[in-house]
Amino acid sequence: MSSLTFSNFFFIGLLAPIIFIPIVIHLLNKKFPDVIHFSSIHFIKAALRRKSRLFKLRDWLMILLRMLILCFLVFIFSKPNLEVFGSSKIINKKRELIILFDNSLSMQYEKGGITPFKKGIIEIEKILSTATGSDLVNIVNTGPVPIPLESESTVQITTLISRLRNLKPRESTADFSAAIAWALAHFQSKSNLKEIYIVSDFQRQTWGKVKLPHFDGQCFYVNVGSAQGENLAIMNASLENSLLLKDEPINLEATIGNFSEKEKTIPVSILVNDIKILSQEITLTPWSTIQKTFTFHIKKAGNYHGAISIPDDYLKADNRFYFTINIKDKEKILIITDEENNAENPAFFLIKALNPYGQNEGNYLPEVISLSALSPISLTGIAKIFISRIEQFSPEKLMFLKQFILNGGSVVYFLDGKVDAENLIKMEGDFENLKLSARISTKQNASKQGFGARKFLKGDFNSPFLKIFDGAHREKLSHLKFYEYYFSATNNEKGVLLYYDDNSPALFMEAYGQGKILFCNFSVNELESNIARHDVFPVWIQEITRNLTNSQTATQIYELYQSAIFSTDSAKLVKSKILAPDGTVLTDKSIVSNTPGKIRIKFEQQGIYRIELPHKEELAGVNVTTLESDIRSVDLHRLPKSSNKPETLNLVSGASDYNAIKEGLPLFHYLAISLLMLMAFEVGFQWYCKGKT
Amino acid sequence: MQKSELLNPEELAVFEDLLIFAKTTVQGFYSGKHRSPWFGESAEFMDYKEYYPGADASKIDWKIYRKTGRLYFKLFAEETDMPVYLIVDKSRSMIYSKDKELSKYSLAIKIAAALTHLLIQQGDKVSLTLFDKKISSHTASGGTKNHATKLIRDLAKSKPMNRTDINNAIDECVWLFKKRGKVVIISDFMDWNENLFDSLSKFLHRNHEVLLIHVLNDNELALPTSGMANFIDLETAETIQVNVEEIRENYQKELKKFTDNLAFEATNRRIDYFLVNPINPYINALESFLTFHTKSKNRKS
Repeated sequence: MSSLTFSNFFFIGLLAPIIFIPIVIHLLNKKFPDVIHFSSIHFIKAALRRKSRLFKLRDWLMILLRMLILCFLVFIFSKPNLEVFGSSKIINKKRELIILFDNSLSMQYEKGGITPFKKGIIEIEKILSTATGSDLVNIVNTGPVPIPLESESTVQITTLISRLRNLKPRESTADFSAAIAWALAHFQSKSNLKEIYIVSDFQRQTWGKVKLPHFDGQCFYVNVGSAQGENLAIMNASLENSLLLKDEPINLEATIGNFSEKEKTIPVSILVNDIKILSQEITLTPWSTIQKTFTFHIKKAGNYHGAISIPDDYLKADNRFYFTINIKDKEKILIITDEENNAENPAFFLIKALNPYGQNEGNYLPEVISLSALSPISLTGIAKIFISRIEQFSPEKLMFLKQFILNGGSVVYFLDGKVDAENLIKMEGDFENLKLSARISTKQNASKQGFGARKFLKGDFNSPFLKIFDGAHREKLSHLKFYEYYFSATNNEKGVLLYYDDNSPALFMEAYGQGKILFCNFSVNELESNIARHDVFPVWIQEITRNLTNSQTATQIYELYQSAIFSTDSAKLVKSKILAPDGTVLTDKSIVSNTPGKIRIKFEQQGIYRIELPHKEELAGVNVTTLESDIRSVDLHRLPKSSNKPETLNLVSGASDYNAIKEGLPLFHYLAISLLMLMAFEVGFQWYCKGKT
Repeated sequence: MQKSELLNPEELAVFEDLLIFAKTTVQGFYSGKHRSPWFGESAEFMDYKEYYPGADASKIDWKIYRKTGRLYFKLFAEETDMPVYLIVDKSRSMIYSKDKELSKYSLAIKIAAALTHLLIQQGDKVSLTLFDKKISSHTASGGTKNHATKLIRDLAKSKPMNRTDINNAIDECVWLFKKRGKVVIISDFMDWNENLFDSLSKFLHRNHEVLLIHVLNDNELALPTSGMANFIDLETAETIQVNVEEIRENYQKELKKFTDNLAFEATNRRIDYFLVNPINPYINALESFLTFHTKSKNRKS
């Protein structure tokens, strides 16, 4: 319940006695009446008999009325203020105001020529204007990490306002839980009147989980957001394939959001090296996000930067999403086999499948080595390995392979050797946490034809490795026959991509670390299956190879204010040049950590960063957060309530509210009007009484 | 002169004031008017006046007609032997005065003095009776200037003292006033009751003509300005505490009812009633008397 405070409290004590003047006069009148010697009291007695019985009551009513008038008069002189917003003001006590200013992306929503950020600065200046000489104030620039403008609360309001005006808007999220925690830690063990003002648009992503712990002060919310806002945003964009080769189709999967109550049809443009290469119109239903794949080609190898954009709206930063594309000319594929390279060996068929044109004409350049030749040097620049007919893994070789896969390398392991069952057991033993989806036992030899040839029965055709057999192409699988294979059983159906007609696994995949291992329980040797003779074979091998690419290496996408480390050798680093999206060269100071061979860059701008190293250029696409794109605020009435007055939610706005927090709601004019009304009532009442006597 | 007739200095001052007041008031009253307000058939010839149609033809002086051929009738100063009985209330209620202004009693004796002077000057006989609960003094009628002086001295000497019993006083007066005359009672009539007019009727039965001059103060008409007040009755010493503002309106109604009733009862009995206007009380009182006098003459004729 609200209570009253008085600016001139001493007036209450000083003037309170005058309230009783009417009753004192009444009593004195009774005690010391005028003495009038009158000719005859005969007619006075007669008049008294005619007097209304209510007169005495009226008399007391009149006294009460007059007391009330004086009471109001005393109140007016005492300048009463009604305590509002749950403020527990104590006269003359020092205040400490901590203002948590939302500096997230959604505060840049510019509608009507003003952003919530600018509105917030205006409101904060109004709040600061209520601080008197001894009051302490501080402003916390609330981004992903709260940063106070002053290390300690200050009385220097002018300096603080100057810093506030110089504050640059940030296009990231805001962590209000951390900001509130900072404020409460700052308040600890202080006896001032503690007030936290939160100036924000209360965007729902930011405010969904914010809690207000108990503290012996007040928290006030200042909403500066747009009441009805709508926004379209590109939430994300990624390349489906990690390693892109020239002239291969590039699939860009973009997530686009419509945060409005209307259906929107908008053009989406894709730019590569600032040249528009694709424009497509899409329709977005209200309050939805859709995923859309855009396909395009790039004919030359190289480092490209791209952007996907939609028309500008009130929040421009999330209308454009930057990415990079690294197109390679050719990719070296390692084939490990311990058999001689002749026309009967599977490696021969794999080479033919990977590079059907011979020499350097295809995208893939296969290179055959034996298991004993496997070393970190042989793995340099290799992302994909094919294994067929190898000897048992030595621990050393197995460790090389494990590191290769952990770092994002991919392996296609044909289970066509004599010791593959043992090798798989070793892999399961040495590769921590690797549980194969299938187990194999003994090998079925082609000489034991009693079992007959196996065919594929069923498979997971959503897998990118089997996509070429989608729909009408599925029939091609039925022509494939396999004579030699390992007897196998399923451990985990999730990883099995293809089954033989006896329900044993024929193709299964394991993800390990950053890489993948695809186990093929068959051989491509023409004596052990007919696959190599089939026209689907090279296409399938090429498709498998392409889909082995790890997506993380395809594009360099970062979020604004993130840091990234770029590796080079220290000699080259000295000569490196880093260009921000606006073309400015980042000075050494911008390089946060400068350890030999590595540079750390903190991205402060949205767009494409260029890291120019001698003979090499790296690109990085920097984008704003998408957590702020839905600019709707939380239900303001569900904001965390003041813990010491749980019924109070202090939504405040404007100078009058801020002054009311400080001094309470001034009641002077209400009292003055009431006083006039009471006086008018008193006159009316007297007139009425006169008429009735 | 007897010792009892001697005036003390204060009374003497009052007497001189009254005397001067009576003379100046009457002179002032007549200034610019006809010398004598009434004309009759007394032996003292005053003037001739040409006859005008409608005038009393019996009063034509035929001797003049014979000599001049024109019709004149003689005008005489009136001479009557009807005495005027002035009865003045000197009860304690007459002491009341508004603040430090003239008391009602002072007003009453001034009116009485002025009437005395007027009547003696006109050749009438005047008697003076002062009463409270009974007659306290009575001076028989006389028409000389010395008599007038005596009456005024009596008035100056008198002091209101006791309660009123106007009925008793009137009853006593009825037996005192042997000769038919004009009875003028100057009082506040605060002791009024239903029997008053029964008593006054006795005057009427004896062919007296009666004029009631009602003297009231401003404050008695509207109550004094005050809040809570203790009213003490000047006659009975009874006390009552009231909030003046509370009862003022009712009081005024009661008092108006009283004066209206008095006037109504008087009219019913062919008694003249006059409530003295506090603004110009003496001239009003003299005028009321002259009106009363004229009316009585008309009634007689």
